[in-house]
Amino acid sequence: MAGQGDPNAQADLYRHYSKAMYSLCIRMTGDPDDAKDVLQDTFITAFRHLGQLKQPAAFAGWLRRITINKCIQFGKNNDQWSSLDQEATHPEEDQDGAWWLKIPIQLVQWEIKNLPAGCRQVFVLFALENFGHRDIARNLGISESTSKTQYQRARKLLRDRITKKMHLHG
Amino acid sequence: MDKLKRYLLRHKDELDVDAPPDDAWEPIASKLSDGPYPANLSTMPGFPAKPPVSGRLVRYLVAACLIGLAGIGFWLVVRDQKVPVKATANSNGAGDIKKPAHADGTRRDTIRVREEPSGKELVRNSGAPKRPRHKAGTPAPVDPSDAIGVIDNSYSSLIDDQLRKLRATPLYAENGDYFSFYADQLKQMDQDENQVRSDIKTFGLTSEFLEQLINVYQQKLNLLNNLRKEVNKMNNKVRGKQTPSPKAVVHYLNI
Repeated sequence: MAGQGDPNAQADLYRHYSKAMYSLCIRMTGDPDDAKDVLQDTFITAFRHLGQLKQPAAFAGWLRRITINKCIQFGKNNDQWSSLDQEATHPEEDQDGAWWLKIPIQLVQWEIKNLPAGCRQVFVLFALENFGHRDIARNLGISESTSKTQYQRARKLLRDRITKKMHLHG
Repeated sequence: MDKLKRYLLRHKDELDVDAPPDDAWEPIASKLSDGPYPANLSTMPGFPAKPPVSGRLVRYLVAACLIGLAGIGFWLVVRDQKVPVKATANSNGAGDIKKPAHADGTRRDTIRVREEPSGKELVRNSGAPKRPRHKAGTPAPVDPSDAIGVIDNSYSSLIDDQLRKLRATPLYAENGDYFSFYADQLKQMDQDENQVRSDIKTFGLTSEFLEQLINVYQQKLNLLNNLRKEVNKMNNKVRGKQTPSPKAVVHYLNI
């Protein structure tokens, strides 16, 4: 129905998937207004090409892929990659234990949004969208080693910021 | 996989805590209702925009198609002159068929004949009325600048070739009534073709009339192709069930 342009069916799909897609957009872009723009662009593209989707059951994955592509495109056009912290170029395997187990998951979402642009995208793609570093490198136009380095940098920043916040608030 | 990644993947849904603002849907709905949706991938991100097709390009494409069709028609004519039509009538090898001319002059879709056990020679199309417009094997000389002439020559050759094969194919299963639908359709298409030709004479040759004429020819080809498939299907059914007896009644299409 939505593929044939039924506005009610499209609105239903939007209501069902907009929250998850918006959360993904805001993780990738780091800004609510940008996330809203990307979300709108995503749904317009998806509904216009819904007829090309052969299996309705695959809609969620298909929509997520469009969202990620839109976010990557947005990042390429708008985000600046900051210079790397050299001390964070080597993998750091949970030296202080599983710190993330002690904090509310919503705080992780909050801090992901506040990460610097480049490492934020790498972190989201690698840790949450299950991309490999090779795919991330190809999609973002960076080297594989840069992707790995940015991921470690994001991890370190997340841990530092979250643990600092936890200390401040007890 | 590192432990943080594993943990986050397990709790990914719990991270989706941000809801879009209420006014996010309206621009989507209004953009979607702006106009018809694009029909192809050229509007997808990453696909180049489709350049507008110019009238000149269309004319070049039409000219290329006409030249191609003329070539096919010429090849078919040359081939027909060199290779005799193979007899396909006798699957049991008992003998050839002599096909009588029908004398009453009425239009029939098939001609009823009886297979004879003696080995008389097959004489094909001796009694079947020819369509006057399509003269197989003798295409009229065509002035290259005459688009109608080129179309006539090429399409007529193709249609004649199809008709010749159909007329030479024996029908084991059905009589003329079964295929009268196709004959009627062909008759209707003849009328359409005459109407287009009359319009061309009255109003002059335009790209619209040219397109209509090509469409009529194309429809004829499709119809004949479908008829050939139908005939083959019926014959194969009969052949699969039984061996034709020497006294079996065989029909031929008369279209």
